[in-house]
Amino acid sequence: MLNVAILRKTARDAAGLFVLAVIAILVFETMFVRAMGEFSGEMSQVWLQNRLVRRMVEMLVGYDLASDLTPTTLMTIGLAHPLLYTFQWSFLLTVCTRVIAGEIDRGTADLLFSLPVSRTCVYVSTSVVWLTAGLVLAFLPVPGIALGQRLAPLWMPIDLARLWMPAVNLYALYVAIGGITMLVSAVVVRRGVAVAIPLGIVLASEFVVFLAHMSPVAWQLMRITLLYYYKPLVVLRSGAWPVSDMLTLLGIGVACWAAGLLWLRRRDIPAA
Amino acid sequence: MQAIETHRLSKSYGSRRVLEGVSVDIPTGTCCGLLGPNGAGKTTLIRVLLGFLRASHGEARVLGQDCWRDGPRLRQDVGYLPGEVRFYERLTGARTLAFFNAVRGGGHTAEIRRLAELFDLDLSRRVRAYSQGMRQKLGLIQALMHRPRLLVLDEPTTALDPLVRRTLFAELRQVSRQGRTVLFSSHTLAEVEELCDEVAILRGGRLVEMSRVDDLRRRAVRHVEITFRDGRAPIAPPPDALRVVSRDARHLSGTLVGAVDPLLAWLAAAPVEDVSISPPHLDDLFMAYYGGAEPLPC
Repeated sequence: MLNVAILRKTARDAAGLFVLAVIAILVFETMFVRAMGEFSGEMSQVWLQNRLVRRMVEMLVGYDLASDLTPTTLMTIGLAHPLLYTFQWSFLLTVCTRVIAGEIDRGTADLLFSLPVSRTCVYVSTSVVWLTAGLVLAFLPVPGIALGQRLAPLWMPIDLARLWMPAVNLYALYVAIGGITMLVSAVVVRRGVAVAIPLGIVLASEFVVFLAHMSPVAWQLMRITLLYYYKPLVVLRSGAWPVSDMLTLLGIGVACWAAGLLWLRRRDIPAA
Repeated sequence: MQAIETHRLSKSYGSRRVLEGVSVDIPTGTCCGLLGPNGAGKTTLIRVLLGFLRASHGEARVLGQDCWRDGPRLRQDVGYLPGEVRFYERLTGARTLAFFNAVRGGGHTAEIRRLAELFDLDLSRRVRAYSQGMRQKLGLIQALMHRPRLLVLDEPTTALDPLVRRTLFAELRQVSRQGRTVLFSSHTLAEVEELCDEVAILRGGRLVEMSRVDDLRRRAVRHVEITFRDGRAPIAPPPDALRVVSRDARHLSGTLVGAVDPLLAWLAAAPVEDVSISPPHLDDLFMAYYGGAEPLPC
């Protein structure tokens, strides 16, 4: 099921981008806390009275932040910021599409699949890398925020322990996108297409969630988007694990991942 | 034991049939040439044998194992060089081979070193800096390094200079002598004739010929030119095997298929001034297959 050599090669190929993503997320979260520190609680409250800003923040974190502003709830913006998504998803899309669609596209699949390893083994070995790296990338915002708080304390301390819950939810979102990407990568033969389809899905998801606060149609559609199941502020407010949201995301991820594996096992590997 | 067996093997993409009813048996220890024009189905057949493609109909077994179901196990004993070999550009030659060695379970370092010396390939450079010929050598090393029981080479001499080509052929003869099997795909007849003892010819997805090269040679055409002394052509008719193309009192020109004995017996009784009989040329036979004309009679 697992080939150590393929695992190591995939990890080595992903290492550079992983380190960049780690640095980018840490720097972003630290800077985010610092930027927030420049507002006092009252200033932030005033800032969040702006209708457009409120809408945008609501779009990001899934709730009206102004009604319950604390340094801890303010940090949910940093857990749902497009920049954070960009760092995580660019890593994810790169790694998930490198092996199947990427190998076929480059023509290296001919040698890879002529080796005495099953397609399942290649698929699983690759998946172990992005799933493991995802644990770091999804939970990294919390240490990043902790570091930011240490360097530039806010007007009240951030309750870091509570931030782990949205971070776990973020990992479930990562798994869902990864599963979809693996499925697409197992089906298509061009890497560009393998990247474009999941990217289109998550961007459409963001767009629908954004519009949901303005359009009743988008509100109805929101349930079928991935980001609907990641609402960090709601999680923080309730203090309860978002079990159903996480199970939905993990379910999507696992189902797509398994469908990709089944497809790969049955498909033809065309010449480049 | 057969190294490769296919029975009524077909492969279609939608309504397009790429292979149709191909049945071949290639015994272990044979060096078999797979010939055919571009688009004949050679690469498709190879890809089915390696488990890249699933046959639409029929069966394919390699080293006694089902190509599709037992793929990973049988590929332990197979070395493959694709027609257009591509590598991970950022790796060096050594790292590339180390990766293949590791996936295969290791233990082939000495053979890698021997082959790198044999083909005179600098493994310390990155693949992206390799010329096409160097990439081809790297591909050959990865195919040969684990001393496979079956070697499948798709157009292996592409981009190789004549010297390296000779080295490769010597290595492949050695492989064949060791009782291992070589499937050598090419569209160059001369290469197959030089190296292989069996040949399979594909055209339009069908197997049109499967013979020993010696048998084909016996069926091949020899060009015959005869000059008679004093313009006195023999009265006896020429043997049936000699197809006369042009004839006058002094000269006869024609083609001969099969054994030369009847011709020599006929010539012995004739006042011959000069005679030339060319070696058997497979080209005409193959051009007949390639071009779609009926092959020459046995």
